[in-house]
This record gives sequence, C-alpha cells and structure tokens, in this order.
Amino acid sequence: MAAITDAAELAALVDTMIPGDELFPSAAAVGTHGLVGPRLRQLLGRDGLARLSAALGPLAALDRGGRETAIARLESADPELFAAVRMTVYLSYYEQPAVVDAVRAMGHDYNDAPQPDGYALPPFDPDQDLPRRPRGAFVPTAEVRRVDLAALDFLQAGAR
Amino acid sequence: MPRHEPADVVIVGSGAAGAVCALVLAEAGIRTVCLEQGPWWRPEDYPHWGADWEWRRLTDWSTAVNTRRKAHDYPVDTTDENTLMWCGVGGSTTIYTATWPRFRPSDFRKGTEHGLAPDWPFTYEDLAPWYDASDALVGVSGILGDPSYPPRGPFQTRPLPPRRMGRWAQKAFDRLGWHWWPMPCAMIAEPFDGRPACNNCGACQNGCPRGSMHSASFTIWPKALAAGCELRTDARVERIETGADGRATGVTYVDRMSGVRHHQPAEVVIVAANGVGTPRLLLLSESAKHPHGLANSSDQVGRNLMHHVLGIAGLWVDGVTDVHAGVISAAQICCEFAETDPARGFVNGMTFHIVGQNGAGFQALGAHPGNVAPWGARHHAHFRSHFNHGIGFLLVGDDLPQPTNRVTLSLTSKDSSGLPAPHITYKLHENDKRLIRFAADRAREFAAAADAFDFKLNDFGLSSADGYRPPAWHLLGTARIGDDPANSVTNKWHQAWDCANLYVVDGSSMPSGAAVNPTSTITAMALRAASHLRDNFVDLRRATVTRRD
Repeated sequence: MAAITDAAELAALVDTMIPGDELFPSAAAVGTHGLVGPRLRQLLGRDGLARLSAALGPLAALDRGGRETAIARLESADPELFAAVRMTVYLSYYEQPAVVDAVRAMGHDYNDAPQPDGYALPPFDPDQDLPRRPRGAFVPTAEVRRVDLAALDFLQAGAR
Repeated sequence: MPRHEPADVVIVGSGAAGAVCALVLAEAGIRTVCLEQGPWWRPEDYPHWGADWEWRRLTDWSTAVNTRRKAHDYPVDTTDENTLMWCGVGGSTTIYTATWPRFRPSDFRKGTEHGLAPDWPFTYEDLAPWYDASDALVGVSGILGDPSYPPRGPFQTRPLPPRRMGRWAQKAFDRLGWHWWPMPCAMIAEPFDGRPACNNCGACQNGCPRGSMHSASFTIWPKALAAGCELRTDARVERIETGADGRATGVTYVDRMSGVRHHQPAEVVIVAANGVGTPRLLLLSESAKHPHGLANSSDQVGRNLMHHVLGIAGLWVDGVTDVHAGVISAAQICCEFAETDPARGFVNGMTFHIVGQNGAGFQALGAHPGNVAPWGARHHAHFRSHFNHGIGFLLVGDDLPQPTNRVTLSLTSKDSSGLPAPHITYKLHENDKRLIRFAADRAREFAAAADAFDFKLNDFGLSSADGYRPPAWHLLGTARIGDDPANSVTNKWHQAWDCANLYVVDGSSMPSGAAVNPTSTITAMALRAASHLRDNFVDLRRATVTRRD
C-alpha cells in the first residue's frame, strides 16, 4: 500500500491542497512535498505518519475529485491530524522561492527571510500618528475608591 | 559533589529579573553567581536568516515549551493551557514581543478597589522611578503625553512607525471615540547604547538577533559579566538548600552537559525562574524546617496563578496594511476600558493592542485568530484578498488571582534531569469570562468601525465545549509580595517571610496582573528589589528575620 512518505503520494496531497493558478505555482511544482515529508515525520513521528497514511489511503492513483474526498474525510474525522498536515503544507509552500516571487508579483514588499534586510523603517510622524484630540484618563492612586459590587452577585462569595 | 567557592549571592534564572539583579549586585562588587538551565543563544541560532523561519517559529523555536520538547526546557503537565516560556540566557525575553506598557496606578490598589485581589505593598508612585530607570537601562521607544497614564520619565527613542495597519486602526478608534496612543516597546527605533535600531523585519515573535529588542542576553548580560557576575549555563538547579536554622545555604544544581551535581554555597539566594519555575523550585526545596516547600508556611506558593484573560481578533480591510513587516505590537494601545466599571457586569479592565500578523505562511493559516485560507481551488483567492490586508486586535484582560489556579508538582511528568515537572491548574473565574466577552463585543465594534470585510475572533475555546485553553505567556502571581505573611510569600522587598536570606523576584511576585504585558513591571520591580538588597547588603546577608517595613 502506498505510504504518505512516498514522493508521489506527498505530491498528490500538496497539489490537491494548493493547486496552481495563473500566478501561483502548484505546491508540487515548486517542490513543497520535499519539505513536507520530513517535516511531517518530525511533527507526527512514525506512528503519526502511519495513521495519516491509513486515514488518507492512496492518493496518487485517484483523480482530483477522489483526492479531495479523501482529504475532506481526514479533515472531518481527525481535525487535529489534519491541522498538523495543513500547517506543514502551508508553511512549506509559502517559503518556496517561486511562491515568494508570486507574493511580490502581487505588489507586496516581501522578503525571503526577515533578516538581514528587514524593511524600511520610516520615522514616526507625529502629525499623522498621534491623536489630534488625545483622550483618556486614569484613576490616581489617592482616588482609588471601593466600587459598588451590589449588582455583581456572582462576586459576593469571593470578596475578601 | 563539587563544591564551589561561596558566593555572596546566587541567582536562579537569567531572564528579565535575574539579569537585572545580577547587574545591580555585580556592579556593587557583590560576588554574584547566576545559574541558568538553558544555553546561550547566539544571533545565528535565531530563525530570522532562513526561508524556513515561519516553520521554525511554530516548531523548534516555538514559544510553547511542550511543543519544543528540548532537554534544556522542562515539560509542563497541564491540559488547561498552552504554557509559553523560554529557557536560556535572557529567559523569556529571548522571544517575547517586548511590548512595554506600564501598569496603571489603580492596578496596585485592587484590594481597595474591589477586594478580589490584594493591594500591592507599594504604589505606582513608589515604582515609577524604577520604571524610568529600567527603561533607561533597556531602551524603550515611545512618546510622552498619553493622558491615560500619569506623567512619566523619558523614552529613549522615538516611537516605531505604526505602518498602514496602525493608521487604519487610528481612524476606527477615532470613529468610536476610544482612547489610543502609540504603544511603548522595548525595541529601539534609533541606535541606543551601542545597539542598532530595529530594521522592521516583522519577526519579533522569534526574538531579535540584532539586539534591537531588549533581550537580556543582548542588553544586560554583557554589562553584568563585565561587572564580574559569573554566569553558568546549562546549570539546572534542583533545590535550594537550607540549614538547621531554616536559612538558605545555597543551591544544588546539575550540570546538564556532564550530569554532575554541584553545590553552590551562598549567603543570599534569589529565585528568578518565572511564575511557573519559581514555585516549582520552592516546592522542590522542602526540608524538615520547610516541610511544605520553601517559603510556603502560608500555603501561598504556587497559588494565585494569573496569565491575563486573552482573546485575539483579526479584521481584514480593503487596503494594504503592511501587517507582515514591522514590530509586531508597534502600533496602538487602547486603554478606553482599562479601569473598573461595575456597570459592565464585572470588575477589572482590559486593553486592546493593534498587532501584526507575521509572514505569508502564517497569514495563510489565518494568523492568530485562525481565519484559515481554505485548501483546494479557493485557496489562492482567499490568500489574495487577505494577505497584507489584516489588522490584529489583541484583547488583554486582568484576570483575578484565585487560590485554585496553581502550580504544583506533577506526579507523572519529569524533566530531562528527572525532576518533577510543574503541574498547572488554571480555570477562568466568572468575572474573567464576563470581561473577555465584553472585550469580544468591543472587538466586533472595532471591526465595524474599520469597515472590515472579514472578522474572526479566537477566544481560545471560551465559547466551545472544551473550554478556555489559552496560550499562557504571562506567568504571574505564584509567590506574591505582600504586607501579611499569612497571605503572601515575601515582603515588599521580595524577601521571603519564612527564610530571611531568600528572595523571589519575577512575575510570581505580582499580587495582581493588570491588563497589560508585565515585563516592564517585572524589570522595574527587579531593579527596585536588587537596589534595596545592594544598599542594605551588610545587614541583609545576615538577616534571620524578615521585617514588615
């Protein structure tokens, strides 16, 4: 029986979860499954992978509709296991260089990694970034008074 | 067992409070040894440099100790929460958000205000100079003039820019007529004290390998070491030893690298191991003189655990928000509901923070509220409409201290050295539930005022059958200061009632938790406590009685 550790099975899984479109490549096209396999092993352990294989069944031999049905069945039957798979697939996909390029192509300033470049740090602009009419208040220490708890019946037993 | 030369002071824990104590005492020429169970983390160890930074943030670099499962950590036995902390030089300042608001004057007077938490044994005004001094030590960005706080000392740098996210939020706050002000952050917007300004990378929840954020390993430890403090890493303290007279004589620790046990004698012991690690160690240190754990004759050690009652919302708007870039909490704080108003149906207050949402992968996962992009054919459409269009809205409420919310010793779980893990019980009080529901309604109002096209609230299970199970980052209240030995663990100078040469200085010292991030207050408290110990060291090193004054 095909295991989820097989490259073809992993590719079928990630491509069904994140197919491509006119801008974004499909998950398998950029090699996401190469990261997903070892990461699922890290996250789930061997037993977890076996459980996942059993829950999904063989995917690669199925058409898209069949794969979607299998993944939806996992999502419904074992939400925790599915969430681990989804986290792994999504994070592994969005770190792929071609996907970062697609995000940039949407017009966003987006780095491959946070450092070393970071992003521009414009100076704080008080004219724009402070309230025009500041509001707010605090109770000074000397003016802290006992509040009336009469209406808060649920608190009476615990007051001390 | 190797026995070291006696120290004047041994400090357990190198985080926000332990580092400050080490610096103050070492600079005064007091022979100080600090023991840290974790390692040094070098800048190159941080995830920021690689494309896998988001994966690492949720796995090996996770703030969740039970997710990391590293040998230098210890597991936390609980089903009530997801406990967050970091072990290593700098403690949890290594990967926090450096959000740096102060407590309010009324936060120190909850006993007077409603009696469901005790008054602190000192006031805001007593602590204010120490807030100013600790800010000067670590470097805080911000701007004076917030009318929702008393006048205060200077910030060290200008505020960080709020990004388009913050400017969008400002308009919503103004429409609602709610208070807002730039959030103070222990993240410098200009060079300060030899450290570079933030470069807006947006990965603050992984820490800061540049040293722009106040992490004690970058900001304080170099100075403490230069002053002569000895810091031993991978040194896990097993127990605080006490003599026949009940006074502390030092600590026993295991070198995690060799497995060899050591004894470090000291005239004074300071425990600064966080609100979970500190009560754990005190309970592990039981003896004939302290049969219920050290400093626990009042049965208060481990009780009154507070985390803040939390929710986090996300709203998505028809505009680019720069939500992946910039310091995560460097936008606004809203204190409109920070003071108690019983007409709301509960006591205590809350604050709202405008926060970022990390990178593309995490945003596809719905960011903190979990508004997940669907898998399959609709994935990219959701991503296109939501990525970099979000605004995070964090709800932080002041949870009541309850004696039943507590840290005890696990009967089943142990750390890599075989020591019992902490066990945590944490349930919300009805007051806390009412508070966070009120806050959630305000979040919905805010989303409407921001013209959001999508909104999602993560109440961490409050409204689910499984119940509230929060990320527990702020570890507070479990060895609190006070005026009365019957209901506190230490006096107002953090000196244990039961053991006059033992000090507890960290989040566990807090009698109440306020409605904001606690590290600025922990740091100020530590500076105050360590300075008092330094100034009175000749007497306090020999103290046999803990005084009330």
